[in-house]
Amino acid sequence: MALRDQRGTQISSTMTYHETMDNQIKADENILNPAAWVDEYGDYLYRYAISRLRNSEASEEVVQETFLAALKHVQQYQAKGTERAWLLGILKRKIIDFIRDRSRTKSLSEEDLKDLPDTFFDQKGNWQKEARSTSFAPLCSLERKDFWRILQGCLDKLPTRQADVFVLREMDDQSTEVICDELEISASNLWVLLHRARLQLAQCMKNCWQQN
Amino acid sequence: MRTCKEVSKLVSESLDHELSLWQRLGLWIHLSMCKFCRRYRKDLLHIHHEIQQRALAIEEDIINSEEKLSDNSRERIKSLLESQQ
Ligand SMILES: [Zn+2]
Repeated sequence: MALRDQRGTQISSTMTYHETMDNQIKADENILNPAAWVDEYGDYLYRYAISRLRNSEASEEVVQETFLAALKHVQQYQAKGTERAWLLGILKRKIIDFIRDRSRTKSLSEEDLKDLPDTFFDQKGNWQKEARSTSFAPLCSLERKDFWRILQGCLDKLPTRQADVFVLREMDDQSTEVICDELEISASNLWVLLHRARLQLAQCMKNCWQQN
Repeated sequence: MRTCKEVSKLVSESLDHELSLWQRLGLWIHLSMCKFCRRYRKDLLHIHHEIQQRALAIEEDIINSEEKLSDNSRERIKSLLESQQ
């Protein structure tokens, strides 16, 4: 009977080689227990994904993609770090891919580039009274989980692309070059998107904080 | 003199790239005279700083989170993985 290892290559029947491969296969089997992966890391990866994508369907999709990719490239897992860190690395890549795809399906819309609503500035370009920052909001006094909850809630109110670039830039600390490259937008468009995201977020977060 | 609208954009851009000398000059002159734009800048820096700080503890936040992969997708992913093996 021809034995095949995970790569599908036929294993030689000579004993010494077989023994070597046997150990290799045993090692692989330890890693190759997908059901255990899903139980052990599924929630962890899902939570990370939802903190970036803010959508449960999208998050389930990237988690699924992550496990599939992991299975495909299991030979590249060298046990250098933990399994979880390895999976998280794949997930981060899948999240960027997902954001890129969702950004591709929509060209830069009016929503993203049209003039700011006059809720922020008057005709002369001065701050509208309601938009003025009245005092320094001590967001730092918030519990961490309240801070994230407010931030997520406010990101949710932004047009998707603006929220996405904000997440990549501020939460993932990606360089503007990488973001422009991935999303295929010019630097000046990116600056406009980030500016809008920040303007609306700052106001939304302060409103939420005051109601907190 | 630049307007608050223009300056709010420069404040944001200063977080993403180096401003030209001309832009910096316009920004600082305006900020020295406009408390609303000063506060806005402070807000943005503050949000930026908080995210950086709190992101360091992301592990803990993820572990304590109550979000869960739904049973449906858990089972779907498992059987997908099994069929790929
Ligand atoms: Zn001003």
